[in-house]
Amino acid sequence: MLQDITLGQYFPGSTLIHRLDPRVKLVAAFLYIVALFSAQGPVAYGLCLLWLVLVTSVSKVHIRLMLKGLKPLLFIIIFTAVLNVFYTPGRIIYEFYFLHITYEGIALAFYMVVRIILLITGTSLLTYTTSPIMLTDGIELLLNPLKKIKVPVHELSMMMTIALRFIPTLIEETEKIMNAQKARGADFESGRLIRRIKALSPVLIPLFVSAFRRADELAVAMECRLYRGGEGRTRLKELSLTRADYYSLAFCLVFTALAILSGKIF
Amino acid sequence: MREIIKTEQLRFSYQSPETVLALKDLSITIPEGQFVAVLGHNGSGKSTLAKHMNAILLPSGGACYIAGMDTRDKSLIYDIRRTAGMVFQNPDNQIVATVVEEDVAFAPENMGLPQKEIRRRVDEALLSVGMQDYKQSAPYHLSGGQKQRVAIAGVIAMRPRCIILDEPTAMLDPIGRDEILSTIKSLNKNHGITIILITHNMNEAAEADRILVLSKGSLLIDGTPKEVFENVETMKSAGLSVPQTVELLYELKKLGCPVSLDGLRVNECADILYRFLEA
Amino acid sequence: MVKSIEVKNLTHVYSAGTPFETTALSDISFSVEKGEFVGIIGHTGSGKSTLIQHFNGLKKPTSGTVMIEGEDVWANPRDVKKFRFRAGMVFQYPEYQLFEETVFLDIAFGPKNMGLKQSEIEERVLEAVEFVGLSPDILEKSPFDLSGGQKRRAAIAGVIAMRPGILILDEPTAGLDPRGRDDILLHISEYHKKMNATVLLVTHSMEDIAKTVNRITVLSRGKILTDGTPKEVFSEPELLKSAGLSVPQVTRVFLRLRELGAPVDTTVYTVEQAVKQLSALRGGKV
Repeated sequence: MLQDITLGQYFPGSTLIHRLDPRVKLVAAFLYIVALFSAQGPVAYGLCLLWLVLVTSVSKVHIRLMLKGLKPLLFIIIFTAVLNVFYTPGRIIYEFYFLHITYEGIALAFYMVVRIILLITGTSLLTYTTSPIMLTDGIELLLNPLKKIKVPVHELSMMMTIALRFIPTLIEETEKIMNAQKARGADFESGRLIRRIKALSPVLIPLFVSAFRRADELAVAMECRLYRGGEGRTRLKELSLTRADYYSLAFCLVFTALAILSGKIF
Repeated sequence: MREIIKTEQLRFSYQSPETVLALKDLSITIPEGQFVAVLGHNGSGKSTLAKHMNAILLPSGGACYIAGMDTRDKSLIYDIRRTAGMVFQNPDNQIVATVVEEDVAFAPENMGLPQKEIRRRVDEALLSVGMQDYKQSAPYHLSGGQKQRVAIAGVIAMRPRCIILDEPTAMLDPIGRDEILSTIKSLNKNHGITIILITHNMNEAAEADRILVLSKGSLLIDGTPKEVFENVETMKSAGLSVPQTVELLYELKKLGCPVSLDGLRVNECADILYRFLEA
Repeated sequence: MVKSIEVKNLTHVYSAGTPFETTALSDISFSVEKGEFVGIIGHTGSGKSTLIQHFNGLKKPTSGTVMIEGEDVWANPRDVKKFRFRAGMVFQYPEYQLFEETVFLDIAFGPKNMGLKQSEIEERVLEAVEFVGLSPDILEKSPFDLSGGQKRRAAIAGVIAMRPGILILDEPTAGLDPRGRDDILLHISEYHKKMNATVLLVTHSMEDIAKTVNRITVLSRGKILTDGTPKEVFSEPELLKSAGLSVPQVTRVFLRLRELGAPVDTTVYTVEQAVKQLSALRGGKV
């Protein structure tokens, strides 16, 4: 159940996409989102889909994995679709009391679903192909100018790194604690919502206690390994832009421009 | 030989009016290159002592010196921690990064070393713990023993002269335990690194050059494994035990058999028993 | 007599149908009589944790059946919960599952979930505390204020308070010092005797197991490698070695003695037995 969450996981590889500078990938993801949200009409969506397919095939990320990432969000996708189908005014196709299905509604729902799917798969591709450390390094460098206005950029990125590192550990821990409490007859599956939320305290309390203990131990371990903030820190992998990075960036810019323009032309 | 760790009348209490002392005027000297095991029951002060060797805790009284550096001197703290690296019990709570080599690079990065030097140290450290093939792996997918070896590599990358391991095998299975023990021994023999191993496992301690036994914050016995384990009664009264080999010899001796207690290893013990049976 | 546990052709596959598919248990058949004290050993990944979680219905067999006290656990999936109380399970590092305001409430959590009366709950909590060797004074304390060893005992008491006919413990002595280990094992043996309970002890420690159990089951790669009395199991050092395990140190001493040519019986596994045999070899006059 909990292991199904693939969002934010990294799958090591050595393809072009894996090797790209994380800053480029972050900017590319940003451009992709811009393209997706300004997309109008089938051509623009087609371009975004083409973009995604191209990058996916180069990155060799398995299609099954991409789809698996959608699973936990299935509910949101269906919910959006239903909402759009029923609540969009326009030419009515079918009416049932206060519910009307419109032509525009169906079209909008379709585009919304496509948009969400493309958005989630596209952005999860970023985390699938970029190690969390690289990702946070990229964010840190991109946000570096903000240091001038006293934004603790390094600290924020270190926090993100650690959070990502501990996600699988804490998921595993949650399952262990749940099993242990189930073994004492705890019931997480039945009853009304309030009862179910109450039933979670035997899991949440030990989980918090353990998370604090871990945080404490980690802080000491980090200090023992000479951590003293971002000042004077060097990197195993200094980021530097290569020709492939510039080409990829140019490619993304062209695609974004095309996607935006296509909506205006067609 | 030069001494790497020295405590003088070291005293420590977790409460501020010193009602209960975790360490009571402890004076020990550890020469460089030694493999020392520290034994003691839960609450005997083992971990407290370990934390002093890395300036995580500072003495309430007395002093602790690492390679001559006084841990109370705040300006020396980074030099102390670089000289005496620390490995903890739970490997999960000391690995920072999501890729093995990036984790091992953490300390050299904090030291501000140039990129090439970091690369060299990371590769060297992973090789010395036998984890070079897992450079790109996610620690999450490794076994307990492998994770703990990555944690050791993360400390080795600082090129410390001494490593303090606080119950590094407590959470591991026998295979993981053997992995860690042979890694520690090789670091000690091949790289001359001083090892302080805190453990509950008598058979692990038997592999050391010297054993310190703590009880209620004081030093109870100090000697070679053979010397220490001969004190069967004292060990038991301190909530500890002795390897089965020594226990067997001890029980025979209690019955009046003319056997010596220094057969710590299986073969040594068998030799003693063989001679006894032949006689 | 009805068997405590009877497993027939049990197979458990994780993540079936995905690239991560792994068979944790393959076609295991195994049974435990009422009142037996069984040690389950095997290296990490041998399937022991998966196996024991079938006994209280936490895991569902991919195929095969699990019978607890003569009843099929999955005959009626809605009824699975009752097996949690019949086969009480203490997980590894159980102290990390403590959550209540007081030790009393925490130990009472299981009995309360069973729907027992308050007076009955109180009686069981007191009994459980005694079984694990804790003083009743700590019942009103917060479980987070206890020492490490006390927390472990309190957590075990939380399972014992359900008075399970089958008690399953996963590495109950991990991380404790030798005295703490001996203490916990002693209390578990007491529960076994006084309640005539079936006890399953999962551990890595051959010395622990040699001291306490009367039967050992060895798992390796999802199958049962060997099963028998400690004497039988420890007489196959090579087989154990192949599963990444070893025999107790005293057994190794005797194997070496045999190599040297001494006429010893190498099926000893405790110091006591060894002393007895050696003094017998010397004609009883030592």
